[in-house]
Amino acid sequence: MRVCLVRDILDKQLLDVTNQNAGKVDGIVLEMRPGEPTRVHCIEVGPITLLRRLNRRLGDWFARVDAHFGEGRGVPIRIPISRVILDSPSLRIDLAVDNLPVMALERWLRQHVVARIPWS
Amino acid sequence: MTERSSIESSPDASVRELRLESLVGHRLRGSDGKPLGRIEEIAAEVRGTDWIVVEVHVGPGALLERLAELTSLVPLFGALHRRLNARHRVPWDRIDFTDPSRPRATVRRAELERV
Amino acid sequence: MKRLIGIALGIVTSIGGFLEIGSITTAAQAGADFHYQLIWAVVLGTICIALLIEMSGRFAAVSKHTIADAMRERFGLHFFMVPLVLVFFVSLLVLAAEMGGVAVAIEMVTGVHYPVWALPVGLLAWGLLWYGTFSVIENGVAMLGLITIAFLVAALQLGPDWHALVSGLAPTLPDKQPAHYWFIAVSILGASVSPYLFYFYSSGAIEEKWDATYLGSNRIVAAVGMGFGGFLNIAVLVVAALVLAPRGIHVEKYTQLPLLLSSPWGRLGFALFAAALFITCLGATTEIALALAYQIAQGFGWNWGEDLAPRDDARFSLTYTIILVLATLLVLVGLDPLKLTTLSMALTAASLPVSIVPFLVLMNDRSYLGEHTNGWLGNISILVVSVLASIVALVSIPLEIAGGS
Repeated sequence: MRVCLVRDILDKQLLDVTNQNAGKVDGIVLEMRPGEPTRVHCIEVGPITLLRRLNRRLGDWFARVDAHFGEGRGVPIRIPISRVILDSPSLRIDLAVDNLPVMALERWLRQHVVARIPWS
Repeated sequence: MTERSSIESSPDASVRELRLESLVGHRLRGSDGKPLGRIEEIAAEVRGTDWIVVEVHVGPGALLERLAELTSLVPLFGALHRRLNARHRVPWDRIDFTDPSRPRATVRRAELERV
Repeated sequence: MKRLIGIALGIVTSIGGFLEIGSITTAAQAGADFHYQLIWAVVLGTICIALLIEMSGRFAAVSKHTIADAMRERFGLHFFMVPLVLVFFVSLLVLAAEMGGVAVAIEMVTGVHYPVWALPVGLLAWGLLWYGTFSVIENGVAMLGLITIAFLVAALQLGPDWHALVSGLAPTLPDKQPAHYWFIAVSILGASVSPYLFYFYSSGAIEEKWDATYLGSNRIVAAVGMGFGGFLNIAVLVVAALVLAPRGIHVEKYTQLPLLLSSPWGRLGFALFAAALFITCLGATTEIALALAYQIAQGFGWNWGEDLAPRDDARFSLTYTIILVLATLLVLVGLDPLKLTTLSMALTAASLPVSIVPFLVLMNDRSYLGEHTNGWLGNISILVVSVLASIVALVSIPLEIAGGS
């Protein structure tokens, strides 16, 4: 099956196994190995990739800030292309987004900000 | 200009990574040095869990295409729209990405097939 | 039966939510300075917003996408960011104007200067969004907005010159102050054709899980609801022409606005005006804050939904919180609410093509709408109006600022 990566994948909404919004496809990484055809390696999701597209320095700055928030942070979030399912018209990943760093900011805000506001 | 650099370092030096979103929009030149157009689409063939990149579509560039879309709003402008929107295929293995900010095809404009 | 109630509710909320500080102020200025001559601008604005609202409801019902979501997917990141940033900043000014309107309404009743109320107003709007649900806000606040029917009653009671009123339906060139005339004309357009509305409306349709069976009711709600809303807006203009113009009052201070109703009805009218301003501006405040948060959350693919508890969409909820804080600060610094209103309405008009053209392209995309794409008449009329409004606004804003000071 033929897929147009810009039209069908890049900037599209991702849904996870529980039908939750898992962000948009902010970047696509291709891999070139000598003697092999070029493959799509993974997709990237999250503000680091997004901001780098708008302005490299802005993205790098965000990555440095993000790195302070724990192990494995500060780098773009990658999802292997083998985990991506074309379920036209949606794009799914066969992972639970709650376990991915995609939701790290959401979780952090929920625990540290929303939880402190009464009756939330 | 280094801000558009699309190579990322990888533990295995022989493996190169290209970022699709930074390839898009780049001008692609043909074997005779003449521009073929701007990279607008990259097509892949899905075989199981393998997504093999097969070709690139070159066209007038995103900005012009956006302007061309305006003409699609007006019924009589359909022909103009198709003209502005012309895209051509370039097979992936005919493009040299040694310098990803200056990709170069090994074909000439006349050899290209319309999308 | 359930569908009928839905339609009735939709119409009522459209009518109750039509007027806000922008449409009241611009119509009052038009009536005070040019009698009925600018009625055509109100009619044109109403037709445009009815068309645009119908389109965004249709888009959501057929494609199951909101406008912001589809803009990112269809145009990519860069072409999504341009309208996002522009609509964000212009709408933030409009939001500050609406919050100023709520604060001014409280000042009218309490006599305490409006900036003092910025913080309580911000908190009130935030509390509605944080603890309320979509239907509470949309139906409750907009239902109370029916109080604005008072303008229609006042207009009829004052008895307009129907002949002159009808002749105002056709655009004519002014015999005095042409720059001011066109400035008000585009401000009226900017006040009715607010881009945040179609982000808001399409999101509401998704929140209420519309599908293609809603297309008929969507059309009725847009036409009837917005149509009646337009009548209310004309009523404000008529009242201003009958009350303010004969006394030579030009609307230069917001404290002059209650005259619209206090002049025919005394103290009761004054209270009615304050209540109407309070309710409608509060409704618009919650709508704009939500619309901008929707736009950002959908563009970046987060969880969103006014019916979700804030802990389930923390990024979305905190986004509207920050937006309300920013707008509160703008009110706190004491920018004149009236100047802020007219300027933000004219800026809205000036930016129309940037926000509307991508929207129109989406409305013609078969991959989203199938057979339900726009007709060419709708395309052309919206395109022409937004481009003309933008040009006129860009020319008249500097003239108005230079002449007004």
